[in-house]
Amino acid sequence: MRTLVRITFRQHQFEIVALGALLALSAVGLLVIPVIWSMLPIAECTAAGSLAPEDVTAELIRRCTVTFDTIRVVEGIGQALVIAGVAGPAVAGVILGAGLVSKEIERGTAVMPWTMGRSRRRWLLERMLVIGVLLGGFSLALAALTDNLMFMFDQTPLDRSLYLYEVRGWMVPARGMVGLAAGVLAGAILGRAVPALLVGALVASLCSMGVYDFGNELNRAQAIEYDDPGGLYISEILRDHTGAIVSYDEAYARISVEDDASWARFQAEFRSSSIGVPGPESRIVTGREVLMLVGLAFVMTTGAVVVVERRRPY
Amino acid sequence: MSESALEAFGVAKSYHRRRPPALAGVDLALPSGTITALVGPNGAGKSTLMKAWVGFERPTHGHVEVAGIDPFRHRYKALAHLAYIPQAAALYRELTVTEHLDLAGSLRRGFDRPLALRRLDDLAIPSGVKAGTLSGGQQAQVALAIALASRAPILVLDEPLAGLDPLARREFLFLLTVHAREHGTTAVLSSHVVSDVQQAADRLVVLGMGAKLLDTGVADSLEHHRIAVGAVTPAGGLRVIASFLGEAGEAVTLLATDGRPTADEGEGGLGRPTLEELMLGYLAAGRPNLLDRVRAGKAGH
Repeated sequence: MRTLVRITFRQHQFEIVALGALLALSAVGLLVIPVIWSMLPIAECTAAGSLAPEDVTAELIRRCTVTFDTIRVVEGIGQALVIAGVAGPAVAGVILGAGLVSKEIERGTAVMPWTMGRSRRRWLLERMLVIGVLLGGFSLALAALTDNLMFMFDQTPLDRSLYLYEVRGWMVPARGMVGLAAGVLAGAILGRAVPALLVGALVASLCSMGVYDFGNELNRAQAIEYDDPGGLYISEILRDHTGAIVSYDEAYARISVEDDASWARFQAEFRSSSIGVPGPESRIVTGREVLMLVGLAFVMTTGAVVVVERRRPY
Repeated sequence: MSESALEAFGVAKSYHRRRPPALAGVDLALPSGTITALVGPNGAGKSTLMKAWVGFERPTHGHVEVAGIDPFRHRYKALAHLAYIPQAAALYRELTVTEHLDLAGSLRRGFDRPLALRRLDDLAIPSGVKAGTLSGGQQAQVALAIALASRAPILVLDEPLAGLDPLARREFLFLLTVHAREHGTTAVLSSHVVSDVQQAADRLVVLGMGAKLLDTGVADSLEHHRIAVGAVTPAGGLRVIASFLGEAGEAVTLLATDGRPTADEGEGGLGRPTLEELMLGYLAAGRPNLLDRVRAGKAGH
């Protein structure tokens, strides 16, 4: 196994190092941002809004201007890093997967392992395992750092929060596995690295979008009224003082909002409620989408094995 | 292992419906322990037949066997009996020679790494360098060393000498022959240049247009054929196989004897053919050639 790990790494050294460096860079960014955030005098500047004008010094204005400018920059970088953290493992998976079989076929090197007596299935799965473990490790590290960043912005315990759940936790490595499997399948069928890369990326994207849409449907099906900060918002309803659900049209028919006084009456009469999936359900919501992604990765890997078992090495 | 190491039973292979088949019903049995030269022009079906034995090209009709095993039914049992070298030595350019041996060792049970290292050492091929930096001849030798060290009783070598310089060819064949004789290995090596493999082969199979044109022992076939320059009237016991163009553009005729004593060189203008002339004669017999067309043209005028 050590030989296989070493040789697989050597064969894909460039991609692994290049993608690893990019993911590591993202990781460093995700690690540094919370540190910078914690050093900013955010509470002091937020409180400054309620100070009497004579208490607001020029120094305070200067410091808070710098702080808010920094927050804008840090949030922008944070969002970019979150996107990179989410897409990165999937893209890395496709790049590594597409080359795993197709390069061997393109260069004619598949002939050697395919004629030495070892089963092609084992040959493929062992190499996928090596790449998968590397990719999974990187992805999990990124996911942990992304979670940390999310918590910094959201302040809701992650096991009770569905805030941007699509880009956190196990969803990140699961997308990486889908990318890897899609790349390997495309490479096994096409036998050419560049077309495999493009087709693999397309298939991985379709899989991710499909799971996202199907997951949304399931979330809608189990949506209820909730009032915790970690819930997944889908829609909202109005209830009157008796608790009956009313539509906005009906509500506006009952109280015509024309001024502050009528608006206050409207607010006293009606209460809006969020409809969605409560935060404590986050494990179920995330778990089933991870399972869907892993299932798709498994199906594509099985397909790749079947193709490799049957195809010519050229 | 069966008497025949490699067999083909009515093997036909078509890649496209509208094109002639790559193989058209070839029956062949290569005895264990022999070195067979599988020769023929480009497109004769040599590679297709070899790839069928390795399990890469499934015959359209008929079947092949490796040591009595059908490689399409029992792929890994069949592969355990053979080692294969493709036309271009398929080495990983980013791996060193040592890493290739490591890889082969992880893929093949019983891989004889010391043997491979000895072979490479004999040829002064450095084991620490990347395969991509080796010359074509050295890469072929690395591929051969791996094939030999796999301890396979059957070696299938598809045009292994293509692209090698004359010295590299000779060294390659020398190592192959020595190993095969020492270990009783069966080897089949293809080439479209028969002189390439003459040094090593003790058996000759000529393929042309997907059909088997000749299948015989080298010594036997040289003994039972004669060559004549110019017009020939076959005497008793001789049969004309075909005429073909000689090196100087002269008409050369290949004749087969019926086993009775036949006049030799200097007696009646007959000589013993080289292996290449033997192949050319049978190839000419298998298709209309330039000489026939030239003759037909002259007769027309």
